[in-house]
This record gives sequence, structure tokens and C-alpha cells, in this order.
Amino acid sequence: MHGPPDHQLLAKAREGDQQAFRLLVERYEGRVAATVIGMLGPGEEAEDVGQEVFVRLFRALDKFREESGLGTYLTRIAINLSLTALQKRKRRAWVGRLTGGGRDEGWQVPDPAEDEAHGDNREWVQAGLQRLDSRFRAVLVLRLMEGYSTKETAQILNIREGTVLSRLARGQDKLREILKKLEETVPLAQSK
Amino acid sequence: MKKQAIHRLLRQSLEGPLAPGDHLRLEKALARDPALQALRADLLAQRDTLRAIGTSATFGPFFAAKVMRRLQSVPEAIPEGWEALMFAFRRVSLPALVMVLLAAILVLSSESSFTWDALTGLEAISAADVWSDVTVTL
Repeated sequence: MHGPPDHQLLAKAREGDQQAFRLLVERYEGRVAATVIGMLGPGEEAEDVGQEVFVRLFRALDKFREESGLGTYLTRIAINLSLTALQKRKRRAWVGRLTGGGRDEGWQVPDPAEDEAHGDNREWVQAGLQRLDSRFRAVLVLRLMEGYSTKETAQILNIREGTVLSRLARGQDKLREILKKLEETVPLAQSK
Repeated sequence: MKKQAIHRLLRQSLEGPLAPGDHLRLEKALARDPALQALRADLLAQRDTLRAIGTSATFGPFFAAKVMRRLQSVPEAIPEGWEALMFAFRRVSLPALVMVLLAAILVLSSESSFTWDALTGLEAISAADVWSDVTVTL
């Protein structure tokens, strides 16, 4: 980690130092992006939620006790806001179906060119992840994308460690099934 | 060893190193089961890809600047408890005052009066009126 430690930046930010807060935003943008984009997929909605995460931190600067670590604290906010955004998305889809629209905002079409550029199938996995139930998705994002331990994942999601492990196993199996179905729909060979 | 137990060992091996005996059991099972090998390869690839997505995730350019701009226009934070109640009242007080004034103007223009009767639409009721109603009912 470059620059002053978090607690110094937090202390300065509490005193109204905007530059200190900006440094914190820059330091944790990647982690928040991983959580939010993992949960919602890339796009404007994810960026909006990402911004809101830091607004919430700013509002809670005086209350934040630094016991859990800023990264974990921000991840918790990011997960909660993402789950709220997913609920809103679901409501919009429901209303859309009622009114004859019915657009599924969670669906992304994998871009073979992107995967070719990366030399892997991350576009497919990202698309498959968006098809996964949010309970499983949250565990996969925290445990596998961000590398939190089972214990940390359980604390962030406020569930038991055993539940994390079972959701991880089931989530991985379901993602595997989804990816297989995707391959059948659009041959994966196109992306290689 | 049952298939379910082997699958559990496989997942445990992805979480961290296994005990030597379990490791050996898993390796033996993998050596004779191509489906298990495929499962392990899939899970490893899935994990690596998810990690790659996580490390490369970004919101795009000027994110920090956008957050700082948003903070300039962010409304006052909603406090808790009594303060939250007062905060809510403060937020509705101006629209409520405007509504009351509009209602008063409407009454004044239609009734040409600004008495209690005109405002409420009720005639003045005395204690005697109430008492007579009660005795009639009884």
C-alpha cells in the first residue's frame, strides 16, 4: 500500500480534508469495483452503486470505528447496496413484464473479442455469474473474486461459515451448468 | 470411498492443503475417474477466471473525481432517533406551509370570510347542542 495508512487518511478526512478522502476512494476503488461489478455486471448502474458506497462512507466517517478494516467495511456496504440494486432490478423487470416490456437487465451478451484480448473466457464467466441467484453470486464474488476467507465472507454476509461453504459448492456447480448451457447456445469456440 | 466424500475432498483441496491421507485418496480417485478430473479442471479454471475478473475490475476513468463531485451535491445525511423525526418534519414543513396557505386563499376567495366556520366548514357547536343530542339519543 502506497501513501499514508488508512487511519491517518480517515482522521484527516474527518477534519474535512477532501484530498485525504479522495486518496481513500482511489485506494479502494478496485476492491469496491470487484464487488459491485461482480454482483451487478459492468455498466452505469454498477458505477452509480460504486459512487454511493463512498458517499455512505463519507456520511459515516464519524461513526466508523476501524475495527473491521476499511476494505471489509466498504465491501459490506457494496454488497448490501448491490443486493438492493438487484431487488430494484427485479421489481423493474416484474413491472416490465406486466406492461409488456419484460427486458432482462441482468443479461449480458458475452463479447468474444474481449475474451480473445484477455486469452480466457472471463466474458462468459461474467455473463454466467449474472445468471446466478444473488445468494450464490455474493459468496462467489467474495470468496473467489476477492479472495476473502470463508470466515470473512461469513462475517460480511452475516451468515454461518457452513452456509458459505455450501453456497460456494452449489454456486460453483450452478455456474458450471450455466456456462455449459451458454456454450451450447453460442459455441465457446467463437471466443477462443 | 463414496463419490460424495471424494467430491467433498476435491472442494476442500481447492480451499487449502489436505491431510496426507486425504490427499492420497483424492489423487487415487482422480487417477481413475476422468469425470472427476474434468470437474477439478473446471473448478480451477472458474476460480482463476473469477480472480482475474476481480483483479481487473474498474469503474473507468475519473471515478474518484465523480465521487468527489457527488459529495459536493450530496444532501444532508439522515440522522437517527429524534433528530431523524425533526429532519423529516423539516423536509415536509415548507410544502405543508404552502398547502396551508393555498387552502386559506381558496377559503377566502370562495367564502369571502376567514372565520373558523369558513375554514373548517363546521358550524360553531356549543355544549348545550351536544347535551341535547345526547338526551335525545337516550
